[in-house]
Amino acid sequence: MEYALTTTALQKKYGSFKALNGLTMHVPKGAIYGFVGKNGSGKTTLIRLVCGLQKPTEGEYSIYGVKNKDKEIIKFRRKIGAVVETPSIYLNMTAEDNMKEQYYILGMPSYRDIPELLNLVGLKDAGKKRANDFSLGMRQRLGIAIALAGSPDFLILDEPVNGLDPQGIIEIRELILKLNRERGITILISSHILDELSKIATHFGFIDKGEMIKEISWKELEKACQTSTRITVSDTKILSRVLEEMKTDYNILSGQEADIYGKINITDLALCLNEQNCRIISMTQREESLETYYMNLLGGNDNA
Amino acid sequence: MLNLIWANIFRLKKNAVFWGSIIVTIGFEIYYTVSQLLHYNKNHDSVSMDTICSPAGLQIIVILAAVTLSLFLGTEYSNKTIRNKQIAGHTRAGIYGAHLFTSLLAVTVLYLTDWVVSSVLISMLFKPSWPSLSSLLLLFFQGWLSFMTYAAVFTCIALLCSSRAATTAICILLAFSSMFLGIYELSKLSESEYLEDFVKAEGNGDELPFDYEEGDTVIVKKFKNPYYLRGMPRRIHTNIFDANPYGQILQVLGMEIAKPRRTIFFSLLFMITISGAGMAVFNRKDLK
Repeated sequence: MEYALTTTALQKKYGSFKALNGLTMHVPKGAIYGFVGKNGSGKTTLIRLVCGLQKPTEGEYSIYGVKNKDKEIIKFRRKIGAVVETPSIYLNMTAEDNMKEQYYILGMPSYRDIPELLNLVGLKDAGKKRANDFSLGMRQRLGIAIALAGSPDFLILDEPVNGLDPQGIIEIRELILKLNRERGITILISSHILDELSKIATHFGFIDKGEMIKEISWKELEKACQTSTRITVSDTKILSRVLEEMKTDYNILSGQEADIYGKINITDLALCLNEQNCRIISMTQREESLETYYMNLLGGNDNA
Repeated sequence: MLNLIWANIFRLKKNAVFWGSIIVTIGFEIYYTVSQLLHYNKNHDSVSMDTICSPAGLQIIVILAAVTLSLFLGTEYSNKTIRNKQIAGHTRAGIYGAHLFTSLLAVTVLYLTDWVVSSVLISMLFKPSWPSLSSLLLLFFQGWLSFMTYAAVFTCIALLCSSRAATTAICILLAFSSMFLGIYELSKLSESEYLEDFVKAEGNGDELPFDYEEGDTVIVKKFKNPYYLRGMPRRIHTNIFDANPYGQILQVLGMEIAKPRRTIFFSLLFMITISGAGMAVFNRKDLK
């Protein structure tokens, strides 16, 4: 698998405080990578390192296979567009002038794409307006438009929906999906709003105290989070045979316990087990959301 | 770095504080020259043509440069836009260099504006006899170098300090401190070596109070000024005056630079040292 970003044992210290503590992560090319962690877990620190705003204390990262200590990294960093925490825009300048400024920074000779970019982020009619008069959502969108100048392959968005109203959240979500699907841009989104991430991300990385707890794809996560039935029977070997015949996903936990995924017809299952002299002792319906999955990863509510 | 310079120039052209500073410079120069004209018309004999010929607006450009540059460069941190330059793949040295160049350019524009407006107005209103071209060029060059030193210092502060408010406060304080130091040193160095007093011809002149009556014979007696700096203290104060960019500007305003090689050396030394050190620290600075 090709990766847009990989980090290996990345560490960042501020004095004696370790903001990142040996973080290893893999962002596949073309993915929408949801970077999940509570406030202060190290999400923004990682983004600052990848963007070159700060240097790692130890460890390394690669952008499209080019390591951070390599001189070539400067060239490859041009493939990145990023909005770190708050959008980086000149508040005393209009949206169009902000875009032109970014075009100058990138050395792009023509302003031809500016109306298209502003249109893409929904600021078509606000080009002549000063950024100071923009709402939070509009500033966020202008920040994304600036990040998109130069057609980056990899977009990094740090808490892009923070402080937005529901309408703004939906618009940003649709924009992210559009950029990923229509332009093939790899997107790394850091957030602690799990519900929002679960709607768009194809991959997830869970970070806590500067360490990567788990990296998981959406399919794996869906499997882990889907509705399951915990069943206790007299013999799981017989249960296994019956579930194979019924073509149902399951996971044997012990000689008597198993998890059955998806919807099952309980009457059919009970009759089949009864025919093979296997008794059902108990059955419990279990449902795991991304939130509970995350909480379990961190070790329960005490860590939340 | 060239891309960053163009980007900075584009932003400078849109900067209201920069244009405001130019307007204030022109306004001050007009006001000062016209008021000098009125004064000159009343007191022909007591007004020195040297002081009339000097571009007086240079005095306020120090403060205007401090305000303009600290706000212009400080915005990079307050609006967090400095990130865009780093993320776009520019090196720290390139970012620092582009900002330094923009600062030098902005201050040069202010400086040139003042000289041009002042020269045109003085020529129109006074028709003075200008100093020789070489002297004028030296004065112009030294004045420009002094402002370049200020620009280098303000750029260094603005890029190392992450708060625009703090940057502005530090730059303005520094500008005023340098002005006051320059004026203080000038007054110290301008003390006469000897003071004169009128005393009666008879008796011990030094001890007699002056009680002149008609018919008394009076002589002028010279005595050493205790405040006049001699020897090492004078050398130290002279060096401080020559090293201080405002001290150099005061010399330009007086239309005479005592030791041009030394002032030029100090200007270049400060500019290179401050910019070099600033770039080295900025290179290691964690941006947010």
